[in-house]
Amino acid sequence: MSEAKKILIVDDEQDIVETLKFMLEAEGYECFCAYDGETGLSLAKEIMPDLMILDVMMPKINGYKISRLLKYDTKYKEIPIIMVTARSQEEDKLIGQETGVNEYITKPFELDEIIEKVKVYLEA
Amino acid sequence: MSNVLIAGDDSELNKIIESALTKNSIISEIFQDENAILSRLENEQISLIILDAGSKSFDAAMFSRKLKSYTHLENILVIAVIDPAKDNLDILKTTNSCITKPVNEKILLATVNSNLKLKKSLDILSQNNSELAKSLYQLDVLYNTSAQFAGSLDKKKLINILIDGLDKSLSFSLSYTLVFNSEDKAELLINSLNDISERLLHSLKMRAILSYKALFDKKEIPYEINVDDINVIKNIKHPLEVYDLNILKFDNLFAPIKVGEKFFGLIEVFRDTEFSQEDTTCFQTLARQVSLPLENAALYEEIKNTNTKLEKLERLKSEFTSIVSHELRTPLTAIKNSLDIMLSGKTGETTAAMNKFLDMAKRNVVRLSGIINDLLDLTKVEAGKMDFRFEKGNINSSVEFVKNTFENLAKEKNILLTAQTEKNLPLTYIDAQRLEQVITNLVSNAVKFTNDNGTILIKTETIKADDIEKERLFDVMNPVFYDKYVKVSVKDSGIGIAEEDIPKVFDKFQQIENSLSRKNGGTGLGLPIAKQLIEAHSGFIWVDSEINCGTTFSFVIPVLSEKEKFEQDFEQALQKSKTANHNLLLLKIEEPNNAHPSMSDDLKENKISIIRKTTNTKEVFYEEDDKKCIMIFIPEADKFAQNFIEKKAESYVEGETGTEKYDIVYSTVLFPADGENAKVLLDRCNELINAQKKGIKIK
Repeated sequence: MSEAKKILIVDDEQDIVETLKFMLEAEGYECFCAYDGETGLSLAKEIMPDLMILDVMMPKINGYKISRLLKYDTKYKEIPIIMVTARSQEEDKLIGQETGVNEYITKPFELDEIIEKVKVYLEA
Repeated sequence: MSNVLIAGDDSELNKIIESALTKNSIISEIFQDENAILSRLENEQISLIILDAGSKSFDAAMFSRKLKSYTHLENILVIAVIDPAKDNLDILKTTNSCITKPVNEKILLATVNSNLKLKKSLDILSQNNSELAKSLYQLDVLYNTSAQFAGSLDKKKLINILIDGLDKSLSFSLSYTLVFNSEDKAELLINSLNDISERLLHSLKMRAILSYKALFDKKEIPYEINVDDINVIKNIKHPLEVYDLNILKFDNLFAPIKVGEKFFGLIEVFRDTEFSQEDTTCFQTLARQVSLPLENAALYEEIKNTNTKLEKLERLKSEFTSIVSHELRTPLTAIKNSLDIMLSGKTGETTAAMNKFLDMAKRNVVRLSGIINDLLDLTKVEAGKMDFRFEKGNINSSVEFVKNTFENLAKEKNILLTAQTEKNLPLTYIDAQRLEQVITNLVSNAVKFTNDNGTILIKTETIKADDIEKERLFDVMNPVFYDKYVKVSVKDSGIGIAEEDIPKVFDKFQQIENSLSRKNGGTGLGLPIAKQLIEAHSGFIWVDSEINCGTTFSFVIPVLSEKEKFEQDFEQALQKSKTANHNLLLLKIEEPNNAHPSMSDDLKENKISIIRKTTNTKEVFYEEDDKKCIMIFIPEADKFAQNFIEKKAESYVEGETGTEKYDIVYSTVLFPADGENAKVLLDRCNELINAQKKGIKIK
C-alpha cells in the first residue's frame, strides 16, 4: 500500500480543524494541523503536503498571503489549496482566484463537500 | 424771530411794508441784495418773501424762478409787489400772489396773513407727506425682511437679516445683539457707524448681560453668561471715527428675541435722533418676526442632528448584524461538522433514539444557518451593499428552473405544480441568481402553505404599467413606472392570509399569527428579502389572498431599453453614494466588448479624469489636469487593479482637499454599446463636477 497522502489544515478555529482532521483521517489521509498562518506556512515548507486546506481570517499571516507566497514559489506552487472562509462576498472569491487558490468553500460547509473536493485533487 | 423777508432795492417801499407789518406784530427783515437773501434762506426757515418786481439791482422774476427750482426752497411763498402799468407776466408765473403799487396797507396785510396761513397748512401737509413716505419705506423694509426670514433656516443668517433690516428702516448709529451659538456660548454682534472705544465695548457687554438677566427676573436663566467669555463680532462702517460712552445718551430701543418661553437673544439699537412711534413699532415687529424662523432654524438643526445620529445607528446596526452573522458561522460549522461525523457512523454505532436527536440537532443547525444567511442578505441589500449582476435575460428560464427544483417536493405532498409561461416573453435586465432566489422563496412558501392535493401555478406574462393595480403598492415611496413589464405570479390554493395581515407580509420578522410558518420553519425574512430584491430590479411585488382560498404573490420587472437601463443604473449609482453619505462618486463603468471606440476620447474632451487599466499588463495609469472630484474607472474585473487604483484615487483626493479624507464607492454602470448615450453620462458628470466646484458635496 502506498504511503498516505499528506493534508495540511491551517485554521485558527481548533474545533473546525478537529472535525476536518477526523473525517479526513477516516478517509485514510495523514493530517497535519496549524492554528496560525505563520506556523502553517513553515509547516507547509517543511512537510510538503499533497494538499492544503486554508482559512482566510487568521492571526499573523492570513490565508490569501500564504496562498500567494506558496503559489509564486516554483517549489510549492503545485500544492492544491482549498480556501475556507466565513465571508461569501463575490470579490473575496476573486481575490482567492487571483492568489492561485484552487477551490473556495464558504462556512458553514458540508464535510462531504470538502472530502469530495479533496478527492478530486488527490485521487485523480 | 422773523420769517418774512422783504426783498427789493427801493428803500422807501421797503420801509412802508416793514412799518405796516410791524404795526401788526409781524416781524420782517429787509434784504436789498440777491445773494444775501439766498444765504439767509439756506440757514433759516422762511415762510414768506415779499418781492419788489421793480428792483433794479437784481432781476426779481429770475430770482423768483430760481427759488422755485430748489426743492428745499420751493415751499417758500412769494408775494410780488408789481407796478400795474408794466408787463408783469413773467414774474407772476412763479410767485404765489401779488399786490400792486402804490401799496395799500390793508391789502398788503390781508395778502400777507392769508399767505402765512396757507404756509402753515402747507407745512403740516408736507410733514404728513414725509412721514407717510417714511412709513411706506419702513413697511417696504419690513416686508422684504420678513420675506428674507422665510427663506432661511440658518440662525446666523437670520440675525444678520434682522440687523440689516433694522439698519435700513431705522438708520441706527449702533446696535448690539446678544445671541448664543450652537455651543451655547454668548456672542455679541456689534453693528455700528463708527468704531467703539474699549470703555464703550465693556459697558455694552455689561449692559447686554444686565438686560439679559433682567429678562429672566426670578426665573431660571437659560444660558450661563460671563463678561469675559463673550465673543465679540464687530461690523463697523467708518472705522476711523470712534464712539465713546456718550452714545449711551442717544435714544435707544430694546427688544428680546424669543418665541413664547424660548429665548434666542436680545437686541438694542441707539440713534442720535429720537425714535418715533413708528420706528418703535417697526423695531418691535422685526424683532418679533425673526423669532419664528429662528425657532424653525433651531428645530431644523435638531432634526439634522437626530438624522445624523439615526444614520449612524443604522450603519452600526447593519455592521453589527454583519459581524455577528459572520462570527456565528464559525461555531455553527463546528457543531454541524461534529453532528455529521456522529451521523456518519464513524464514531461508532448510534441507537435509533440517538439518531433521532442527532437528526433534530442537525436540522436545527441547518435552519439556523438559513436564518443567518437571510439576515446577511437582508442587511446587505438594505445597506445597498449587495452586488447585482444585471444581464439581459428571459425570466421564463428562471421560472422553469425553480419549477424543476420543486417538482419532487410537490409530488410528495401531492400538489399539482404547473408553469404557464408566455411565449416570446420580452427580455429584461435581471440578476438571474437573485430572481431565482425570489421565485424559490415564493414557490417554497406556496408549497408550505398548500395542503395535500392542492394546486400551485407559476405564470409569466407581459403587461402594461396601467395594468398594475397601483393601490397595492401603498408602501412604495414615489414609485417610478416604465411602459412595459414582465409579470410573474405564483398562485396557490393554500390556507390564505387574513386581510388584516396582508400589509404585514413584507415586514421584517413578522410572524403572522395562526399561520403555519412556525411549524414550517420559516425565518420571517424571505418575503422582506424578496421585496428588496425585486425593488432593486426597479420592480414591484404584492400579494392577493383570501383566507382558505389561496394566495397569489405577483411581481413585475420593467422591460427596459438599453438607454433606459443605463440611465437607471446611473441614477442608482448616484443614490447609492448618497445613502452611503459619500463625498466622492467613483463610477466603475463596465465596458462591453463592443464599446464605442470614441468613448474615452469623449471623456477626455470633457476633461474628466480617466483611470483605466490596460488590458494585458498590470500597468495602471491615470490622467489628471483640472481639479476634479469625480473619476470614471473603466476596469476589467480585477480586484488588484481596483485596490491599486483606489489607493491612487485616495491620495489624489486627499491631496486636493487637505485634511479631509473621502470614502470611495464603486458603482457599476453598464455603458451602452452604441456610444450614443455617452452624452448622458458626460452631462451628468459635468453637472456633478460643477456642483463640486461650487463646494457642494454629493449628497
